[in-house]
Amino acid sequence: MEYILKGHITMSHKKVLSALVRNHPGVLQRVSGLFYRRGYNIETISACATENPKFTRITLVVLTNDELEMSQIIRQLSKIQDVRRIAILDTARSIRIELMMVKFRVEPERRTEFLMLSCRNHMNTLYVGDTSVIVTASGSTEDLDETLEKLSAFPIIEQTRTGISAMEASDRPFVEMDDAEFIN
Amino acid sequence: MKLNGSDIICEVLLEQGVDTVFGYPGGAVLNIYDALYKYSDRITHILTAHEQGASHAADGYARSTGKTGVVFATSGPGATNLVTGIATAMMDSVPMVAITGNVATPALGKDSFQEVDITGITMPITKHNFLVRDITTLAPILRKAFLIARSGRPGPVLVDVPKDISAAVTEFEHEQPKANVRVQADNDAIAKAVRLINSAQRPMIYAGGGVISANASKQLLEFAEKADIPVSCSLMGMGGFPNDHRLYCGLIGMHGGYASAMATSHCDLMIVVGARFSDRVAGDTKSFAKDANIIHIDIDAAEFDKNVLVDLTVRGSADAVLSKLTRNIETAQHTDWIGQIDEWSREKKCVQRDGDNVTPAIIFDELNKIMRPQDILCTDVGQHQMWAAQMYDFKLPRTFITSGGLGTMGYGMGASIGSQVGNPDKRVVLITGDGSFHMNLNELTTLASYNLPVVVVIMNNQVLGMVRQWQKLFYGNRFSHTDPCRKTDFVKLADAFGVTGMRITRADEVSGVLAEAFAKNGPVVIDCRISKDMNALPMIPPGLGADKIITEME
Repeated sequence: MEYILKGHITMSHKKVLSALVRNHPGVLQRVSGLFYRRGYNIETISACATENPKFTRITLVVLTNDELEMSQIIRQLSKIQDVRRIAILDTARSIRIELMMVKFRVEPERRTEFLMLSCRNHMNTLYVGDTSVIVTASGSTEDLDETLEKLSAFPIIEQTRTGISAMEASDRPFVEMDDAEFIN
Repeated sequence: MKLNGSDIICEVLLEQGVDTVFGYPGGAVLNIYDALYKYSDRITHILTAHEQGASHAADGYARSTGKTGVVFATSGPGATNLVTGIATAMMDSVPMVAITGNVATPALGKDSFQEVDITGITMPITKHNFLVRDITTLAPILRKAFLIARSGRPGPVLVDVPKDISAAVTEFEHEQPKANVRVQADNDAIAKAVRLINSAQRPMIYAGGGVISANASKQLLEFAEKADIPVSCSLMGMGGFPNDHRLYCGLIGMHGGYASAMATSHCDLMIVVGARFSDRVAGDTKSFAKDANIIHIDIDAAEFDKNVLVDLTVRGSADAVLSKLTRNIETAQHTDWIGQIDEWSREKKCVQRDGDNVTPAIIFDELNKIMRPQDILCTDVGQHQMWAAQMYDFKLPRTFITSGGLGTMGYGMGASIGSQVGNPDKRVVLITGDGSFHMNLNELTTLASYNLPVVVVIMNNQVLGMVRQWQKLFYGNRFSHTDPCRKTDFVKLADAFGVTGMRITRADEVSGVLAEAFAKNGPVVIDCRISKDMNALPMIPPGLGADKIITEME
């Protein structure tokens, strides 16, 4: 029995790539440099440590409608020596979450109204200032966009988002770690 | 045994079978050069006038011998001077290991004297690169650098060694070099290819540099003969198929022959071996071989469907794939089709005449007479390069050393040095233009120092001919900065460098002067005067299909 609870919304022209790369200095530059010089569009890129210190996981959201361009991206990325595994996450079978922090301008007389609204939209309050409130939320990109829409009565001072982190909804690891000597 | 980083570099070079390196010393590589002094009985170091020359020499050495070229340079400007040479090797898939010095690790990132982030700079133009931060990783990194450089689709790898690393001491043990990683061709794809080949009526082969880097010219010949398929070579594939063979149908692409262009438009099957449909071959990717099924054989899967969409891909090394195909196909004859191609070959021959003056055809006719099949022809970039590809009869692989992908003017001097050092028993001729030659003529001093018997033939038309030709065709004869009015006397220049200088001004002098130059057994520069209005023809204008070929112009 499978339950996909959150972060499951189809993104038509967006593809989520999950790459396991060697945890070497400069590896993010190798990946992002390839996108830049070959003219591929990245919407978000996030890199983080994994359960194995040898590897970093890079999650990319790529904007393309073109199957051929997508296969070129995968093939070109596979040629980077530090990229060990790479795959496209099936949108129907994966969970994609990002974290957002937003600093809203909230005058004291509207503070209660704001806090109730943000609470109802599953946002956690991190900081309450004289005329501002910082809240955080996580979810799919679409969830977060929707949440922001609901709070649109309040002006945003600044906002930061992590970009997508993704995982396949299955019992197995999506990409096996493999440090075997393989030369592309 | 305990060794310092510089000795480890030399030991790993020996382990990898390297006996010749090219380079230029400097502050950050003093330790390494001290080790090269110690190892000078086993490693020959060729000192060039400039690091760019050394990088092209390592590249020319690699292309002409099939071994991995090695180049050393110091940090900062030494390292950046390698950049053009590394990019040249990358574009043409040449196995090369560049070892640069850098400032000591504590000084990295502090804008120290002669510090530059060369791994950052070369990231897009190397197959991979390394910055060594820990002495214990030096030997494994160097071994991996060689493995990456020569495996799969070959390419350049840079290893940046800070000065404290080349001095640090660690335990070192010898290791046997690892065998190249081989890609096995998929049998299913082979079977599909065999079916397409057996049923083709008008097949042709477009052979590229992969045939040469995979040492597959014998397999290509066997395959083409058994299936009776005509072969066109890309610039990089030149030498991969004997040019005097009945199935050879000429250079393919922008300056390819009329027969190749017509065959491309009319074939029903195109077999592409170790080539990448560059814009200099497939100007119009939509109309390229549009009536044909295309089989693309390549070791690099990223080349599949990159420029031209194909019907079948076969991933693997050209030698392995071709021999499997040859075993499985039926013997065939395509007499009518080959007859048609021969007719196209005869139909439009672009022979330019110029009275008593020297023409490219006269020079190449003479070279075809006096060069042996194994001799090496290097070029720079421009009209002379295209004439060489069109008119010189290449019979063996690794005899045409030219910058194809990057089109690096100034490549030839370094490349001819590397080719001659790697092939002391072969004659090396550099065909260049006055524009290209001016870029790296400083390397004449290297020819003189090592008495390398390279014959440099400058096809001197006094202008930047290829760009000028484009200005004639596409820019209304507005010759912006292609007529530099240079006063260089190449004979005197050669003399000043300690190199023999000669001159050819009339057609009837060509054979005499070339014979005299060949007999010198030392470096010679020949200033060969040609008209500035000799053009590189035929030409398919950029972005257009084969039917738009230009065979005549003013």
